Amino acid sequence: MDKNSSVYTFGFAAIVTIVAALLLGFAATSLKPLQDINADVDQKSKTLLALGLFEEGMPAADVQAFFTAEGKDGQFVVKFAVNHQGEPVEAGEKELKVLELEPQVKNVAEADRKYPIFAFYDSKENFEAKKATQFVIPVFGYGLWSNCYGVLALDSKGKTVNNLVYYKHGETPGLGGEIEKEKFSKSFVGKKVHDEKGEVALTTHKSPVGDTQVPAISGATFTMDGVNLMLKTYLTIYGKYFEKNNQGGGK
Amino acid sequence: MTAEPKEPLFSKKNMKLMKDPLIDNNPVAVQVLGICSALAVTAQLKPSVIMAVSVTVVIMFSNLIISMLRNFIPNSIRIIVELTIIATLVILVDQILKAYAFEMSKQLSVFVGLIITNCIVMGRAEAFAMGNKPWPSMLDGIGSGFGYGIIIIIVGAIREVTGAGTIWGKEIIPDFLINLGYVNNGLMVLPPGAFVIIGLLVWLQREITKKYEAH
Repeated sequence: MDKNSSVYTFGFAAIVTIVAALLLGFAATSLKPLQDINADVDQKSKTLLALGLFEEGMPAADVQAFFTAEGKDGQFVVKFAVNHQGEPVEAGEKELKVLELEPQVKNVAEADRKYPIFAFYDSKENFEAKKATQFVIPVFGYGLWSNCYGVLALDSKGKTVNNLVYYKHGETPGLGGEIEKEKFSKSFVGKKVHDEKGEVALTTHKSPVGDTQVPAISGATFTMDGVNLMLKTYLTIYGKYFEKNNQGGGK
Repeated sequence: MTAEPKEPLFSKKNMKLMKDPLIDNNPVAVQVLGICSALAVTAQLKPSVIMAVSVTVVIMFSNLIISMLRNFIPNSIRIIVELTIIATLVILVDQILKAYAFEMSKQLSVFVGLIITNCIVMGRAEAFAMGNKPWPSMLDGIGSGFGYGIIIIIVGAIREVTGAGTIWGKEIIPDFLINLGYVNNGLMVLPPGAFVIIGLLVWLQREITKKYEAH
């Protein structure tokens, strides 16, 4: 057969494409379960990171254990979701799979969003009584070069910060990149979310005063602007849940 | 389609195919190919090693497959066919990393996908595999992969030690040096640091092989 004929060329292209497609389809399908588990463990470990329970190289089974009904070492984490009004909503496995809020914020209308939230119980009694001791919420915001993704741990009333950990960002090392450092995380510990008027007031500031301001990183103004906006946005949204929860007698 | 019976598998000629790209004709240092990923993933040693292995696997198999098909590939669409084969292999590598080395795949992120555009892969397919038998093509692929790998591993190791004070994620700078005022070199964490080291490696390579144009 003439190798330069159109028929041969088309036929060859078709065969190559079909073989490649079949191969990739097979690989994608057969590796999917493993990849899903990886993504799940990854997300759960981020939550544990905010709670200070995650260690580098922690086995996947240990990470998963916190999220089971048996818990791990008497500690339990339960994941659920709230809507834009702060009401707990039914959310399927699929919706809860993604920790990052970004895809939802980009693609889903406010009314239909399901914001993931994690409740932490430090003992079996509290777990059974549904008295959460801490909450973890995912947060994200812009930086100078990239979006920055973090997890924020709050006390049981959602009024005091226990931890803020950035786990993914593309900021300049040494400047904006300092947000991932322990020093920055530590400066949030014990800070209050609201001012006296009950407004969300937690923010970074170059000369911080009071218990709602955190020292800003110098040389990273734009990143800090992103951090401030992020705190304001998500503490307001999740704040509605805490408000309802606190009124309801701390369910 | 296999090599002629007279020529042994690891003949001198075949071994030369594998050894040549290591120093004498290194794809990064001499041909200055694959620089993009050599800058992007070499801030630490571990991703550099994973990248080196991934690229080697891709070149090896793309050369093998393309060489096996070389008499059937229509000339008018050969580039796109080569690209399809390379892309398929790269996606396979990406999927496998996601399943078995999740942390690494997150760290390497888009740069695994960008192996497709690594000129070394395409270059070897077009320049060697299209005109040679499968076995030598595969050896040539392995050699080129190693040639690329050796450079990025060296760059990765130097950048991690000088930039972060660690090697393979372990702290290696002794405390007393830090107490004396030792600081990590921030430049090495950034891509320009890789440029400097690659430049030095090119110089070293020229000095060893003595192959350079006199000016």
